[in-house]
Amino acid sequence: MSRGVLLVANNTEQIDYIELSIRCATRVKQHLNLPVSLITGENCSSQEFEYIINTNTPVEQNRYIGQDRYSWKNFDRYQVYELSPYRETLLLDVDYVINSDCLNRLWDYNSSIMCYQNLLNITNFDLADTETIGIYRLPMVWATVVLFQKDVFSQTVFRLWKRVQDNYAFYAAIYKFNNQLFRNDFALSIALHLASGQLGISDYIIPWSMINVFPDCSIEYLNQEYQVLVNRGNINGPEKLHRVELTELDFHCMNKADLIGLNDV
Amino acid sequence: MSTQTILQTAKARYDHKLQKNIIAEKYKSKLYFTYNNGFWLASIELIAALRVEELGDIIHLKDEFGNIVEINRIELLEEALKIYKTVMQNWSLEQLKARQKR
Repeated sequence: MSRGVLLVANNTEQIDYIELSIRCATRVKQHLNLPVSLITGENCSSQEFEYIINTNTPVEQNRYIGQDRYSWKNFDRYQVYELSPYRETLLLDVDYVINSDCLNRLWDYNSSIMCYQNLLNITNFDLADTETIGIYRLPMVWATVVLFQKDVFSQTVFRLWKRVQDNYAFYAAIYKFNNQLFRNDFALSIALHLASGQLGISDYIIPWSMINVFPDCSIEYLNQEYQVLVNRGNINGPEKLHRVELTELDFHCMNKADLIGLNDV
Repeated sequence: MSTQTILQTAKARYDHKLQKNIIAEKYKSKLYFTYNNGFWLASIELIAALRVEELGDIIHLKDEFGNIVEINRIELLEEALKIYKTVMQNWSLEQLKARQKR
């Protein structure tokens, strides 16, 4: 019970996150050979999980992209520190596709907490990016993959994560960012900066980049490879589809509709 | 796989440049390894530094996170060489395979 992967999933009207979490768990076991547990407010009895930890279903928040409404239930993720049954935990988003064992290399480093900072968007691979928060450009880390061990520092980070969530408007005013949509990435970034005494967070950054497949890319699984179709055309111009393959490479797939339909597990 | 997806995939151009960058990203991450609680990048620079025999066998080196770690030079050199050779060979093979795709 000392090391494992933790997923958080709560269904929305659009997405069956429990199904995504089951698929994620299968991939984790295949590539990382680690037990997986689930935190959810739904009824779930899948055998893929070592533990299923039931919590209250968090409040939903909504966003409109064009005329399409998207909803998330992503509050209260800070609870994973207390709820995790493992001493060393890898917290993953259920839409993060584990396709290699590279994350296993981070365990031996013994850091209190580690997460991605650098992002590579598969559409525009030439520009590796560190996103920033607000007008003061606080460097952002991604809450998509968080590896932590239970110690004083990481406990402080998660307590600050809760504090930021509970006082989101206040921190939005301090760091001058839009607080209409709660983002765990923002909360974790601010928590990590505060916990490190604003002295820099480079010790807690996974040294390689997170690969991101945006929702406008479609994805298929063929011949044991993930085939991604990328539209390289201009926004209002004709579609110019380019194809690439992702083999033995972890990536964050934001096209959840395609992800659920893949025949990779 | 739907018919529409088959058609889309068939029409899509294989993006060699993007694929080369993806392959590079994949193998760069494989060059990282841990040794004696330090995090190291198996690079030509590290290997060259470790081959300096005048440094002695037990030395202190700065790892990728800026931590000063006491290491056995020979052991770290062997580990770095093994990882570097394997990763670069596989990288080269995969690049070659990708160049042949259309």
